[in-house]
This record gives sequence, structure tokens and C-alpha cells, in this order.
Amino acid sequence: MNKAALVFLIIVSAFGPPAHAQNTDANDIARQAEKTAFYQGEDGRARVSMQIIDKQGRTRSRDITILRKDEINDNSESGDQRFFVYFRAPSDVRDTVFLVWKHPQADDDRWLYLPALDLVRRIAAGDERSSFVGSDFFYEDVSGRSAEEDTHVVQDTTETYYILKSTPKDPNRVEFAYYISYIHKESYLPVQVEYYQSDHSKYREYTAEAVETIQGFPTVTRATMKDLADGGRTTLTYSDIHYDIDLSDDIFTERYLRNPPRQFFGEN
Amino acid sequence: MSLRTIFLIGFLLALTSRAGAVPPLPEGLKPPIETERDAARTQSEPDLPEGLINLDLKEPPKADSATEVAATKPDWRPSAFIDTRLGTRLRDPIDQEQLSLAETRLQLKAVRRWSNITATVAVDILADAISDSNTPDLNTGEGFVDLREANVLWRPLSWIDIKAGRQILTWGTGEYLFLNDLFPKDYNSFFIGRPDAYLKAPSDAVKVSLFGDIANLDIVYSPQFDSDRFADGARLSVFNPFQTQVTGNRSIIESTRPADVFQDDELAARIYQTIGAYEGALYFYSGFWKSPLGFSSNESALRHNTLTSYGGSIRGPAKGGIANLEVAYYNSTEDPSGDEPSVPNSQVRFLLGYERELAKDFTGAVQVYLEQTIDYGALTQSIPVAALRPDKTRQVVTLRARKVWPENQVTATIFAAFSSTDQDGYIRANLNWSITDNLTLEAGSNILYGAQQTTQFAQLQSNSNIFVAARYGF
Repeated sequence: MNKAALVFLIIVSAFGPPAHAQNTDANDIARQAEKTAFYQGEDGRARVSMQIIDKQGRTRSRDITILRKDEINDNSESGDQRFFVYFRAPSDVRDTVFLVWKHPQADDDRWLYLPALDLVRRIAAGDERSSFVGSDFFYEDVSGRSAEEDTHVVQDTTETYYILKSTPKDPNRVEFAYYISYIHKESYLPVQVEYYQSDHSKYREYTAEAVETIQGFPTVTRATMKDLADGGRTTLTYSDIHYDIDLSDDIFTERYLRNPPRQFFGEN
Repeated sequence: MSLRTIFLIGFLLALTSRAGAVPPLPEGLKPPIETERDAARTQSEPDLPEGLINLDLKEPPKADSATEVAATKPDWRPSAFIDTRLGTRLRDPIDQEQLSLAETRLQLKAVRRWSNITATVAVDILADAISDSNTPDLNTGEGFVDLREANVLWRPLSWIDIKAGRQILTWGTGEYLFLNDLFPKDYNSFFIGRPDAYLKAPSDAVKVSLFGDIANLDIVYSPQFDSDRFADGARLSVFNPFQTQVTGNRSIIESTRPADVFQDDELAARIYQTIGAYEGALYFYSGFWKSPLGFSSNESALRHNTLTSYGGSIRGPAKGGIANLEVAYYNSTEDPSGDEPSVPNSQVRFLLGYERELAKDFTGAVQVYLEQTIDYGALTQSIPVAALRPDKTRQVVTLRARKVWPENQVTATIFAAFSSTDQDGYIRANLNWSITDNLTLEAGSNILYGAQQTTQFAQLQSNSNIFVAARYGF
């Protein structure tokens, strides 16, 4: 080894890797992105205003509060989460609650509370890729698709993004052939996700349109899902976002379905 | 050689060696999509959203103060809907108008929350062109006012909820089949085509709920018996045991309701817990048969005999769907040996259900229900005429299919019940379309059929109907 090379090595090792190291492991990037998008803090709440706009421009609105808590098993995150989805509007679904115990490795447990009947219905685990309350978002877009369900390849790395191509391990369970994610290198937030059919036509596109750093967590505050095939789109606007609010486990049980924990909704 | 020069040389060396180590892919190995995309990628790269451009991750994570997060604004939260429906009988009516339903309902609801207390009031103002009585009766729901809810929910301690007043109560696992849910039902509303929620009649009760680590306990006390709003001829023509034929509005079946406050009371209890994904529950009830099945001493009216019931249920995931099992033992305490003809015999009720998604946005469900009369031998002795005797076993199978078109907010449901022992059945179909967030249109049918006029569904067959409805919520 010549002197010059030796000096070069010393310099490189002394300065260490650059501040934003190139992460070249696609699975690692995908896992980080999943964590950033769906697992920030121990728990959290957000108010979500949903605008569903069809190709004729007709708008439907949903006003929802989502409470989320991550389940910890033996001090290591199992990936299981609980979601309490409370509907404030429209009026015919007011006080309806959708409760999900998410198990990334198995079928989710789901309940629906219908206030007019005081009925707690158990819902059969459904297709995760079907519309969430009539919007262009799927259940899975709201609760998170596990990085383990797809095979990820770094397709490119730009100044700003890791560009990942993800192919489903079980193509029979999904409607896409693959999707391309633009993951912000610094924050690991997916900024755009494009879904393709097997003929390489893009038919669905997610875009994070606004981000705020809340309690140190970069958080998407406005996102749009476009259905490029039928011309519809849905925009979610998040407000009143709080992390680590100390939600107890029993909030995600029958007790609170019948009597929603409005103190955590920040209003009546 | 300056340090800078060394660095530059080293850097160039590193670059060239890396570039040389990776040969370009031959044409045939490069997926065509990648070549197309490579050119377009740099232009099509999404812009960074605001908030990521000058991302500052230095701000340390901190929890919000609990008071700030938990702040509530005490204020009445009002809501309302107007629901109008029109229905017609499909067969020749028996002592009824051809129209089965012609009504407009305004519901006004208000909820107010204080720190540990939530108050709820929901009242229906009803303009009903079919009903004969417009004078409000808050117990039967007849008349132009129906008080659905008027209750206060209080949390005195973190592990106790107390809900007192008029309230809708539901538990158990069946779909339209009730074993351990002995809270009042409104079968008139159900079969003439009012909204599903009106199958549940309100109870005037105190519900105390205790939440523990081992299990949770609900105790519901109703100081005065709340009977079902059952078919008695007024709205639904039904088999009249005193005239031994189906009668309607001209000869309404008389019944006596136990009504002494604190004397004719009801107690219902449930212990429940979720273990893993499985929900288990034990039930107890002490009160009266909810619909009158016995006869008064002078045989001129139906009676609600005393009833004590014990049961259990389990519900959870099975084979990609949800399975439920529920059993109940109805102890007809006025007739312990089963030989009293004017009192219904004790029963064992059994339900097995299963639901699963069959295709995207399409679910199917099946239920098998059995009702076994206890001491049937004694009943055979006391009621020798078989036609007047209930069957030893009643069996019902129900099927339900539901398809949702979420993008159009359309739901189509068909629920069908068949009884092989009664040789009768019931088909309930419903199409529901939310045109806008406020306006929902609905069409539905209640078709009942059967060979005899005494069995549960067949006796109601002259009431078979179709209806349309519109609801505006605000």
C-alpha cells in the first residue's frame, strides 16, 4: 500500500461516514420508512379531515379522530398496534367507532360500534386493499403495509430520495404488480408512492403534500391519494396531532367503544 | 504533496476502481421498464413538501402536557335527521290498510360532556299516517313522540361507569336472533321496514359497569319491566290464539304487562372478557318473557310469565372469518315441571354463526339456531291437540350476503331465514345509497311465507311489504 492511499484511508476513517450516509440496504430503508410513517412515538392522536372528490368533482367529507397505540412485547416492538377510529361526521355515522387490533403477521381483529343500536359488531378480517370508508385510500394505506410483505430494491438514489421498487411476495393478495416509493433521505418519510400494474401503467399515486415536525417527529399533515384510472382523489388533512399522550390499553376495548374517550379528542 | 492533492487523488482512485468493478448490464438483462424510467426519473421526481425542505430534527421529542391534550369544551353537541318512508303490503291485508308504512320522523339529539359525565337526549317526533293513536305513550313508543334516549353516564371512579335513564341496550352475538339479549325489541318497526336501529326499543334502566383485570361486569336493573313491542294486530296482522285465526287492527290481542315499579322489575348481568382475540361472556337475566306467550287466568289476554335465564357466548376469528357460539337456558319459573298449559315451557337455545369476506367488499354469513322445549312430554299431556302445541324443536337457518360499492356509497344486503321445522321463512332485502353526505335513499322488502298460520314467520305473511325511504341528516 502506498503512502497516499494510507493517508486517504486515515482521513476517511477519521472523518467517518458523511452525515447522511448512503443507506444501500433496500429492506432497511423500507423498514425505516414504515417506522417513520406509522410508528412514531409510543402512541398518538390526530384529527383527520377527509375530502373524497370523484371525477365529476363531487365531494364527500369525513371527519375522524384516530388514536393509535403501539404494543410492546418484551421491550421490543412486535409491530402490533391498536387503532381507535372515531367518526364525527357525516351525521349518519357520528359516534360510530371502528376499532382495529393490527397484527402485521396475521389477520387484524376489527370491531365496529353502531351507537343507534348500542351494538358492538365483530367484523371479519377483510381485504386490506379495499376502500377505507369510501375513500381512495385503502385500509392498508391508513394503518400501514408491513415492509416484510414486499421485496425491495433500491432503484436509484438522488440527492433527495431513495427510490425503492417494491414487489409483493404474494402477488395474489394485492392488486399492484409493484410500486415505486420516493423516500426522503433525511427523514425517511415516503413523499410519493406510485402503484403500477403488470403492464407498467401507473394507476394510483400517493403524495405527501405537507409535513410538520411535531415533538421532533416529521409528520405528514396533508396527503393525497389519486386513483388515476377513475379520476377520483382523496385528500387527508391531519390536525391536532400529538404524540406520547399516554393512552392506556383499555381505550382500545369495548368499554370505550360504547363511551368514546372524548377527553382525548380535544373537544366535545 | 499537499493534503488536498492526496485527498483528490485518493477520491479519484476510489471512484475509478468502483466504476470499473461493475460492468454495465447487457441489453437483454436490463428490464425494459428501467430504461424507460431512467430517462424520465430525474424530471418526474416529486418536489419535497413544505416541512421537509428545511427539516430540523434537532428538536427533542417531548410529551405534551396531559392537561393540554385532555382539554374538553363543555357544550351541547346537537344533531338531527329527518327520515321519511312509504311502504305497501304485497298481499291482501287482513284487517289492515294496504299501506304498511307512511311516516316522517324527525329525530333531535343532543350530547353534552363534562369531565366525568356525559348526558344524552334523543327524541323522535313522528307523523305517522297509519297508526291509529297519536297520543304519546313513552312505554310502548306509540304516538307522535318517542323518547329514544335520555340518560346520564357518570364515571365516579376509573373502573366504574354508571349509565342511568332511558337507553338502548344490546349484548350477545346473534344477528337478528337473540338468546341472552333480553332487552326490549320492537318487532313492529322491524317487520314494517323502519331503520334497523328501531329493532331496539329503549329501556328505562340503570347500568353499572365494573372493569377489572380478570373480567368486566355489567349489571342492568330496570325497576319496571320493559316488554318487547310485539306484533299484536295493531300494525302487523298476527295469529290470534283467542280467535284461532290471523287477525289485525279490528281485534287487537289483549295482553297484560307486569307494571308495578320495583315489583315487576328486571335484572340482567353479563361477565365478559377478551382473551387473545376471543371474546367470552356469561349472562344472567331475571324478569319476564319479553313477548307474552302465556295466558291469563280467565284466558282473555296474553301474559308475560316470569323468566330466569342463564347463558354464555364466545366469539372470535376462525378460518379467515368470525365464528360465534351462544347458548342460553330459559327457565320458565312459573312452570317448573312443564305441565302447565297456560305457561310456556323452559327452553334451551343454541346459536352457531360464521361470517367471512368472500370477495372484495362482499361478505357472507350463516347462522344455525335451535330452540329446544324442555319437559315436552309433560306438554304433550297438558296440550293434547298438536296444532296448538309449540314444536319440540324449532330450527332456523339464516343466510346473509352483503355487497358494498364504497366509491358510490351503495350497500346491498339480503338476509334470509328459513325454518325447516316450521316450514316457513323470512327474506329481508335492503338497498342503501348515500347520494351525498347528508342524503341517503333506501329501498327494502320484508317477505314472509309459510304453510301454517301459527308459526313464527308464516303468521305474519299477510304483512309482507316493500318500502322506499329517504333520510336527511344534519
